[in-house]
Amino acid sequence: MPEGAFDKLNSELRRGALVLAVLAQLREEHYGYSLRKALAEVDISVEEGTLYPLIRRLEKQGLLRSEWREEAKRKKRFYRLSAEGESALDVLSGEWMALNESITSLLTDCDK
Amino acid sequence: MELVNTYLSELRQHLPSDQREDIVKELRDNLVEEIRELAEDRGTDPTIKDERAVLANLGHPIKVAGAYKAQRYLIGPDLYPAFLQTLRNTLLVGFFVVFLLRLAGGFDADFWLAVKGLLFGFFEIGLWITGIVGLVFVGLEATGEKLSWYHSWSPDDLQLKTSVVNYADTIPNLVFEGLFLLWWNSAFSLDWGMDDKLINAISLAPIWDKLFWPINLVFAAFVGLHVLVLLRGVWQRWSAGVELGLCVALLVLVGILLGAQALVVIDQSQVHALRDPTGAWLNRSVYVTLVVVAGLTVWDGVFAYGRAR
Repeated sequence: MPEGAFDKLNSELRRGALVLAVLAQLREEHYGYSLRKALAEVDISVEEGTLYPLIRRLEKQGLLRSEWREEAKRKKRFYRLSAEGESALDVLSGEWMALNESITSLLTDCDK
Repeated sequence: MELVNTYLSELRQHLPSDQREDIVKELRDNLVEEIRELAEDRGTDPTIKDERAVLANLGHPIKVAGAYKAQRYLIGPDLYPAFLQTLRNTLLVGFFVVFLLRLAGGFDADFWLAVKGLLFGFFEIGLWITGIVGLVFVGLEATGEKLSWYHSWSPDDLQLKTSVVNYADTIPNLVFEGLFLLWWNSAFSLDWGMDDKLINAISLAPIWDKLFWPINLVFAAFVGLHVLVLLRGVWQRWSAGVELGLCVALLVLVGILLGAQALVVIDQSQVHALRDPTGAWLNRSVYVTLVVVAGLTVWDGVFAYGRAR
């Protein structure tokens, strides 16, 4: 495999799952940096340059709602799933489970 | 947080104007918290090194600002293959037109000057075509207009794109073209069975000198094409298209020759014994030969057109 090809494949694989991870994590309220840390704790490390624009895009699509609030004497923008976001998360979770089942079955077949 | 402020003011310029303040405010907040946390882990106050580390991780301001905008392409991955195909085809047509125009205008008698002129012509038309086709596709990308031949494609559009080579036709053609090329470049001479005095008195009209290299190029291209086609055993649309183009080029050359006042010049001072009509007779023979060549070329061209379709 050419140098860097694995990193590229891995990055493409993870990029597809990132929206689902962000939506799932934002069932709890977070601001940008705390969301990044929360995802890192479950081994999903995302660059700031990718994550911060993504949450704004999801908000623009109506999947998140946000508000500026003061915490520890600093104003922060907090994000949370909207009602539309919750429905989208349900649908995407179902898709993910089905896909996971198919891929697992394929991978198991490969091992035999 | 001087470095962060400088970074944000740079980033600010590239953000969408309606979200600029909001994004900068939010990003500053996230960056400051991250920098403070780095310093707290060390048990010191934040330093410029912490700022540098966090900003380096974030990336170039233009890249980060770009991520906040809707993803746009000049020519996106969907249209790009159609752009390349269109560019390639129009470049081929453009190069051929330049070649024909050079033929009609007459090449420089010096081979390298002729090649330089041709290459410059290719370069110039190449730039124009690339620019125009590029602009058209940027327009298509921006407006979302669809190309019927590309986006509304159906399997019914597929056609048989190859036809088997007729060796009985192609091999004699190749032999004739090869022999002509060798003779034209004086690799051998033919015995015309004429009196030496007469042969010494005959010379070709100046128009032949002017067309020396164009004739060489067209016949060399014919030889190259026919060798390739024989090796592959099939005519493809592109090779039939090139054959058709070469036939047109040869017809242009023949047309230029037929339009000349004289094709053969006879020095009467060397052949006193000859009667005047000899020159006219020789010229007429060459004209008739050229007409026959034109007829055969049209014949080949019609077949090439059929294959190219």
